[in-house]
Amino acid sequence: MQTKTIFELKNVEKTYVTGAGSFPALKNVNFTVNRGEFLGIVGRSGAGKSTLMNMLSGVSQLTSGEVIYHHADGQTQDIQTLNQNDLALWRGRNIGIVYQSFELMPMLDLVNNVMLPQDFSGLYQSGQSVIKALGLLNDVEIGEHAYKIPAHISGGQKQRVAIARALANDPPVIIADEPTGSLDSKTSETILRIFEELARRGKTIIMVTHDQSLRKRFDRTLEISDGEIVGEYVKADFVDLPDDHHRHDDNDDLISGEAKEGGKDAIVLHDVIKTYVGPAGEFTALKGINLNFKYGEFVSIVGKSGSGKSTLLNMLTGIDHPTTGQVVIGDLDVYGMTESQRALWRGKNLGIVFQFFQLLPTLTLLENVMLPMDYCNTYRPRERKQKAMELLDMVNLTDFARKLPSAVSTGQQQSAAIARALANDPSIIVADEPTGNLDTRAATMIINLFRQLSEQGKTILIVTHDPSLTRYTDRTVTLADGQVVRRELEPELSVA
Amino acid sequence: MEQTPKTYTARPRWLKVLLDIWENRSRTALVVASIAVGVFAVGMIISTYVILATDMEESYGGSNPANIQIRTRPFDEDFVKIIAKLPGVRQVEGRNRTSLRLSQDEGKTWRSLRVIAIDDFENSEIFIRESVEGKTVPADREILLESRILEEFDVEVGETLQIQLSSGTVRELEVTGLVRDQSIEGGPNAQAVAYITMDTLTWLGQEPSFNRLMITVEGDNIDLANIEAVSQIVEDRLEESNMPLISVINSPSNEHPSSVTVLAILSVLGAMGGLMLVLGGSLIANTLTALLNQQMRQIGVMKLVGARNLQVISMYLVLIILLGLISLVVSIPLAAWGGYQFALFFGDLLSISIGSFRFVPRAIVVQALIAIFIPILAGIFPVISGSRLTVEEAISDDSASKDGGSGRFFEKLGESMEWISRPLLISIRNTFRNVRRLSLTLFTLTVAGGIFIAVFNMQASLNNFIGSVTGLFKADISVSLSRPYREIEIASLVESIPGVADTEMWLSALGDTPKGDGSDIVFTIQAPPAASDLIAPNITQGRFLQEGDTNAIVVAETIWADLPELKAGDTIEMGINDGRAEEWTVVGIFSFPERDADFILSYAPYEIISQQTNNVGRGTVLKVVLDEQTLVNQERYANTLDTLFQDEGIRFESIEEGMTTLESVSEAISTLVSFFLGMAVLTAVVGSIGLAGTMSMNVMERIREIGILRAIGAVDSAVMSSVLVEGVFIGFISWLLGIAVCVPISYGLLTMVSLAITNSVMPMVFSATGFWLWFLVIIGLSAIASIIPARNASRLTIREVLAYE
Repeated sequence: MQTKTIFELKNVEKTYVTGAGSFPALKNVNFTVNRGEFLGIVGRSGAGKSTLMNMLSGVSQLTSGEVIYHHADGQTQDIQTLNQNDLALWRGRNIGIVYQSFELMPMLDLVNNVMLPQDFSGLYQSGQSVIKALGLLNDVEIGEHAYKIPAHISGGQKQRVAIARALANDPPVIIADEPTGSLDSKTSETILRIFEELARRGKTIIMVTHDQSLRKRFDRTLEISDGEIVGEYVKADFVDLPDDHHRHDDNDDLISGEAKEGGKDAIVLHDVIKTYVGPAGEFTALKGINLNFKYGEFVSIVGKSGSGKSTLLNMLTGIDHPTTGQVVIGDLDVYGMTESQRALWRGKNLGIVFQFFQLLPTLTLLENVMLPMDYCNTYRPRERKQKAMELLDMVNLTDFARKLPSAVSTGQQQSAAIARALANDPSIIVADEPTGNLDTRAATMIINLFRQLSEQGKTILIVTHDPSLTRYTDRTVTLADGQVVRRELEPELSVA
Repeated sequence: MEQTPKTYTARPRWLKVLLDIWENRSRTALVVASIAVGVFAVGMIISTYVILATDMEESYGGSNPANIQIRTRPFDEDFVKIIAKLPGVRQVEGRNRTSLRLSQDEGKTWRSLRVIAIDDFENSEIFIRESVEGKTVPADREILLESRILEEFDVEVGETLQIQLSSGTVRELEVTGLVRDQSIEGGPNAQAVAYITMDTLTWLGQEPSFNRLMITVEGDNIDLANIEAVSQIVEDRLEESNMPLISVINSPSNEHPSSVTVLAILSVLGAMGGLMLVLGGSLIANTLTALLNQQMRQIGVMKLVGARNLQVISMYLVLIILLGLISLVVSIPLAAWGGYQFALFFGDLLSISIGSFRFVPRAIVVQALIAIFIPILAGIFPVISGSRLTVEEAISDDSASKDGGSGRFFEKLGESMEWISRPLLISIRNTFRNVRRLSLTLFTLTVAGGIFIAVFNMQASLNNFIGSVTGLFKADISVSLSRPYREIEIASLVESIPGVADTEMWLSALGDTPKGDGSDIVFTIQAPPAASDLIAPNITQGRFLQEGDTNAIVVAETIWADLPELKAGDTIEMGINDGRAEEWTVVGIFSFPERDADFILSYAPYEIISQQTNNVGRGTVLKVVLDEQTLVNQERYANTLDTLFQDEGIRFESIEEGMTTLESVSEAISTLVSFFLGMAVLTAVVGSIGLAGTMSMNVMERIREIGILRAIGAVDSAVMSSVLVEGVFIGFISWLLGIAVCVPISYGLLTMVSLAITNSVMPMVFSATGFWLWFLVIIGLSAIASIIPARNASRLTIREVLAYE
């Protein structure tokens, strides 16, 4: 007789040990997953969701505890006791995994991508497997592209292929890590519907996401924060929530964000359109953006993954060319310069903070901070060290100045990245998901840092998918499907 | 639209392997090039080796070479018939070898030409000449030329040459053919040779007689003992007829005149093959490691969808074998062609007829083994370690933790040397980001540099050796007289010949000193006048003779075989010509390239030896210095002296041209040097492909970092110079290491070559040329190998770079 439970986690702990010390990613996690349910695991970036997913799929080793898998015949398996080979075989036959980044084999056509798990699990049969793969691709409505390679289809289509591949060995469980993370809202909806349909057919779906609005789609939701399960909800708890996914399609809401009164414009975007042309066709990421930002303003640019935030950020920083339109920063047309001139201009006038910090791993924090000064030849060489130390002191990293990035915590790495962004004393700081990889405490510290800088007269633009950050900023610009939309989420705690 | 099921040629995983090769054609080309260059080098060397070895034996043996070549006084056909009847003589032919003056421009310029006159070309069966163009049998008043003459003169078949007779008369001969003669030693210093009939010789005003006997032996013609026995019979017969033996060369039918050089070349080829294998192997390991690093994420994904270690290992092994096979297919024809061209080059230099183009099976087998097993050996470690990566490690973006711990060192370096700019320091530090790959790249470049520099050291050592040997043969002609003659008498006779610049009379004697075990060591003593300019041996200890020396002797290093402890300043008890033993001081020791260790040459003052042997004012060796010091001129004057001494009744044992002894050695050396230079170029090519590959891989890995640098203000030139500095820095380190590595390679190669040529180890001379030339080559190559990836890197936009996976 089939058991109701398919996964059982008992006292699961996971601690990462880095040069900066040990960091608990999961703390005493206990829960069960039922056969045939659509389970959501939600939480902010850095909450421990992905670590939890890696535990379930046996990709990562526990520090302590048990992850028990219940086979349909009632037998149980502590997956952490399996060796790498047995684990690979177990995973191949029982778990289908879908990643945010699709992870398809770039050289193989879609059919072969889907057949790969069968080949490795010894279930491959010439002819039969092709028919099965075509069937799966049809199920996820991508059958017509079956003989194309991944580069020739869109992101949403790739994710459907990844789902078809996850189903290739007909596994009872599908684990999906932010499967809609890089898709636009319409495509995300398609993917969610596929998962719902699979759950209806008896598959167990475990989906990890930072998108709180999806909670109403799951049969059951576990909320995770700083490595602990902090809440458990069932679908009925959310039936009254509006459907977030369809709201951006309402064109009447489209307007430009408005700058705060007075002050001089630091950045002005005129009718910026960005269209990408790829083998999968034409895709317009920004559809006529008009925005302006004042000096000293602290602005958050929010939107779901795929809404065009990163593209907008690339336009603001001179990293990518608009297809049409103009970006003026200070009094300068950013795209009137050559790439090389722009690099120098950017180094002197813009500080960029990345989600993954992007510190050079072979340089100490101090050297990382001094580097922009070297490239832009600001300050006299002898002053650079002193100036860099002042910046590190400002972000409380004086004692870590001579450590390599790998020897400090992620929060400290991001602080160092901010210090580096300030190296040439730029008037504008642009940050891409600056708290995306940090725990709550570190994230608060970073936001406070930005707040202070804004008060000192710097223009701070932060791009984030986390709406909770908007309460710290003067103004919020919301993007959806490549357009700026006015949202209810006006600053709640805005500081004039 | 629903798709119909398609039939695939392979399962998905094998399809991935095939597509990895096909779709990444530029990467595949790089990997294939790095495997193929090593396989090609080894295959080419083996092909050259086999072709040279077999064709030398076949072509030389096929020409029916003389086993005994005797130079004596003029003789006629009757004497040839007498020799033909001697026991052990199978065939005999008489020839006249002389030299003439030739002009191609109506007498405006004249050059010396060595001419061989044969009586009956139709029936000449020894050293059969192969046709290259035109006739092989000249009619009267026609001339055939040995084909290598073309290297020296621009002559065509059908052209008319002017020949000047000793009387000054000019005669014209038509060139009717080009032939190849295996009896002519090859090498860059080989002399131009021509063939005429005896009647033509007479027409040119020369005596219609022979001066060379060419003999083949009965029985085993490759057994030197048999040949020497027959030679002894012939020599006895000559003595009976009062014919002086000017020179005798005994050689087996399978021993080409250039075999000493060929042996040296072949042994060095073998050693080079080994070095190339090491070089190719490290290049392959390097490239495959980089290839597998690029595939780490895909390995992670495959494991995620159920792949087990063995499946992953087998996929990459098959990938490696396929790449090896592609390299093999590319390198087999190239190596065969290159090997054949090399063989043709050496064949031409050494006068070996090389057959038609062919594939050498032995080379193909070795190439196949290398192309398959070296990549497997090189790749197996990264493949296994790659397959053992956990999924988490394989798909993790966390590169920081993978970086080495070189940070502290460079931090300190940066602090202590503030004048080094940080971007420069980053480039230098980047060099050490992948220690394993850096080691392999450095190994490849270091070995290449070591070989390159060693070649120049060898060249310098060989030239030094030639210089030192030349010091022993400064006289143009040496005549060994049968008894002591008065110096004044001989000098006045010889110095009256136009073209003779100077003469000296030396004495020759035998010295003996007790060895310690009851037996005696016998020296050959040459006694030049103390003020002689005609001797300058390469002194390795002490000094040479000086004016005022009394019982002073300078001995060759070969004495150490008998008296290993002997050093300059020691005294020995020595008797001259079996006379009373006296105390002699060994004032110096010199190096001497004698293949026969039993022969000990020494020099003692003429003034002392002449007193002790009662020969004051007399000498037994005549040294002649000519105005024009070329081998052909030396031969001409040797003939003149031969005739003169016969006419004057002066008896002598031999007349030797000064350069003949040196000739074969210097020929061999020049050939070897040009060969080594070719090898140096080949190693430089292998090294540069390795470096280009490494730099491309480095840039691929640094692509994200380059994006960051641009985001914080690095301009194009800063990005480019960052990559460039890294490449040049690697080149510089390899240069320093190459200097160290060249020492054992130089000694190894020199030992091999000098043992083959002289049976002794030549002294090593280090040449600055090699060091600095390699410095320029490696820095230049590093810069070029880095510029392309650097340019590409600087052209990438930040968006492309940060989106790069």
